[in-house]
Order: sequence, then C-alpha cells, then structure tokens
Amino acid sequence: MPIRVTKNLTGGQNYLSPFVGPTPLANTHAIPVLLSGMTAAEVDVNGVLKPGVPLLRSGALISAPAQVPWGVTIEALKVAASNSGADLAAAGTVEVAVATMGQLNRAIMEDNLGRVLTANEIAGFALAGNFLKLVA
Amino acid sequence: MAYFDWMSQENNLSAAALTVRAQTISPNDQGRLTYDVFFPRQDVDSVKLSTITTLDFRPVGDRREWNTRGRAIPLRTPDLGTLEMVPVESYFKLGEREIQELEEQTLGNESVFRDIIRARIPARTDDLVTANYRRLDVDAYNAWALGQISARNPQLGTTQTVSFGFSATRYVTAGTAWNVVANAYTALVQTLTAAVDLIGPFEGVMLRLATLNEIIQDAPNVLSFNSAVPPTRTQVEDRISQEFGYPFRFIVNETTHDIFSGAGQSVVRTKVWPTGRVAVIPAGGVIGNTMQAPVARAFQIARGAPAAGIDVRGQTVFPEVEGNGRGLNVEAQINAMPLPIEGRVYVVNAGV
Repeated sequence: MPIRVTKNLTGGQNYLSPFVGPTPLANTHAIPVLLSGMTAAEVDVNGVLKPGVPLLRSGALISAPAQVPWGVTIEALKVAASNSGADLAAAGTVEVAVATMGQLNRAIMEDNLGRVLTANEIAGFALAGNFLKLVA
Repeated sequence: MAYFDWMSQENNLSAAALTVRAQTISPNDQGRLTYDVFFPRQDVDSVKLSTITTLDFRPVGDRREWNTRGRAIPLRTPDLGTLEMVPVESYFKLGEREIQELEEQTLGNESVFRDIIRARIPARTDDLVTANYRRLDVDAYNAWALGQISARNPQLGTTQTVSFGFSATRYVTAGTAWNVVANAYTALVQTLTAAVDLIGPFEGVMLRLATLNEIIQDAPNVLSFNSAVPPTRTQVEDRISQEFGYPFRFIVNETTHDIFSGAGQSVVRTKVWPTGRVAVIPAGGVIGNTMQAPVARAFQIARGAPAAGIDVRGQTVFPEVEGNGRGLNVEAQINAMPLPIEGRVYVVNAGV
C-alpha cells in the first residue's frame, strides 16, 4: 500500500514560565553563559536553554554553598544545535537574559529542568542579596 | 506604542470579546462533563454563602381529654452556617520569543499575523474555560460522594480539604464490602430501603462499573433456567423498579480528568467518582446547585461593552500585556462552587 504513517515528532509537555504572577520583564539582565558548563538538564536535546535555570552573575550554574543566584532564565531559547558536548562546546558563550527579581514556582522549575533543585541552589535563593523568591 | 496596543481594538481579542466567546462554550466537554445535570446553576450575589443543614424533626400530635389542652409542638431550628468560595482560574503566557516566531511565520505581515493570533489566542482561551468547568465537575462529585471539597493551591501544591458537615447518617460504610458480602444485590436493596427514609423517593444510583458488576453478578435472573447466567443491567433495573414502584436506573460514572498533582506540570488521570461509592439519586435528579457569584473584574468589562451582554457571573477572560508588549498573559476566571443539599444526599461506601 502506498500509504504509511511516519512519526516525525514525539509530543509531550512544553516548558512553563516559572514566574508566579507577572514576568519581571522590567528587571532583566543579559549575562554571558558558557554553554559547555551546561548539562542536559539545562539545555535540551534540541539545543534549547530552558526557562527557570538559576545562574550566577558569571553565567555559571550554582555548584557550591553560599552562592547567590543572580537570575533565572526567562523563556526557552535555542542556543546550540543540540545538548551534546561537542555542540555545546562549539556554541561557545552566548548572552542570555535572566530575570533578577521575582517570585518563582519551584515545582515548575524542576519540571522544566527534569531534575530537582540542588541543595546549594535552594539555599542560594534564601541568601541575602538575592531578590528571587521560591514560593513553592 | 506597546506591541499589543492594537489588541484592545481588535474585535476578537479584547477582554469583552474573549469573555463573550468564553461564555458561549458549553460546560459539556463533549459530554464528559455532567455535573450541571445534578447541580444546576444558581446565581448568587456573593462568594459568601449561607448554608442550612437539614432539620429532621417529625413531631406527632397526641390525643387529649375533653376540655384539656393537646400537645405543644416545640420549635426546632436547623444548624446555620456560612462558607466562602475562592475563584477558579486558569491562565497561559506567551513570551516574547514565541510572539516573534508567530510574526516571523507571516513574514512581518501584520494583518496576517493578526489572523493567526486571532485564531490562536481565542482557541487557547477555550482550553482555559474548559479546564475551569472540569474543576467544577471534580468538585461536584467530590461534594456529593464524600461531603467535602478539596482545593490544591496551584502555586504551593498543598491541598486543603473542607467538609460540609453533613450528618454521618447520610454517609455510611457497608459493614462488609459488596464483593465479599453474600449478595450485593440484596445489599443494594437494603441501601435503597434505608435511603427512602432520608431522601424520599429515588430514581437511581450513581456508582462505578466495578460496583455495578458485583450487583449484577448477585442479582437473581428469573428469565433463565441456568443460574450461572447473570441478568442484564436492564433486567436488574426493571426488577428494582418493580420492587419499589419507582422508575430506576444505574448511572455508571467512569469519567476521568487530568488533575494536577502538585505545583508543577504533573497530572494524574483520575476518576471523578470515588471508588466504591454508591449514591442514591432522589426523584427529580437534582442533588444541589452550582452557586455562581459575580466576578468583580467582569463588571468593568461589562460597563465597557454594554451591548455584549456579558454575564458577570459567567467565565471571565482577561488578557494582560506585560513588559511593554514583550509578553502576554491571558486568564480565565469563574466564581462558582457546587453545593449539595443535605436532604438529598445518601451515599454508601460499598468497598468495591
């Protein structure tokens, strides 16, 4: 038979905005992000940097105690061809806008990332000098 | 000029237009939603509701001697209470990048872009409205079957359960589960007999398929010489009708909805009718009402578009432009809550 069905795309859930209430678009800051420091949790298989990724001012992930998050990514943005090590290294450093203040839904952040927030990340949101609040 | 400044001027994308469209959507979801059959709408003026529990007091007069007084009938008052509902609201957001992609698909042609966004935003708004109606469906059947309503905070993921405080005589648990008891059909007949005293004549029961199967398996089949052949569902309904003298029907509720299990995206496909509950349906089929109160924001929309005929107690849609047009947030809200009438409720937990 000349008819066949080819599944080209697997459906699934999409990324949600992690912000509770209005998106704080008046308080955004573009920071340089070295993509080779990202993992499959932050950049998906299509090379999209997910919304709700907490980052330091240097653009790096929070990896140690007493690190205050500078901002979280706002919207899903394509930054690389894929999340393979080679493609992330090839993409180098990109400027990404992060929101530096606002209320965040932790459950939505973790759904977007596909992982739970680390203890350092959670503790970081509670540190002085941080204007991002986890409300869930 | 804000990116979406023209939105309010577009007939199809203003708050009034989206609200009118939302209010034309039937709370039916292709027949999956049935709460409005058992809980018809009742308009109220406030989100604060007064409730009266049923007073079951049936005094009997006495005979008296000649030239003496008879029995004084005392006044008894029912319990009074108030409850306050919170709104049901769903929303979606469009980010700047998504808006950019929408316009790029039309090569920057604003009129074509307007056609696309006109098609997309109202259609996505329909999803919000139906989600709100599904919440009423879940709440209605929980209120009826369990005498309580559960609300999950969409931001925190925590759940709060509130009981209506109905009499325990109206929510009974079978001493032996109906899949263990000697005869589930006999147990049903006993349930119906007890129900008449509390709710009066009945017209059927609502239950799950597993419970119905237990009843049918144990029901007598006088039309077959082979006792291993169970009767049909219609035969059992007819038999009960003949036993009690009322028309009777089984209503099997296996409807499912995807209920959010926390503050994130995860959902659990859940049956709206709790397992094992058998609820007797009083004659007339009405268990209570869906109380619908005004949405304060709807008054402003109605004043701005008086010819639109907006129902201030219906679903109300609010588009909100964010960040000088970099984002768009669309919300749909309804102030409604199903409220059973205690005198019409009798539910047995059959355990199967």
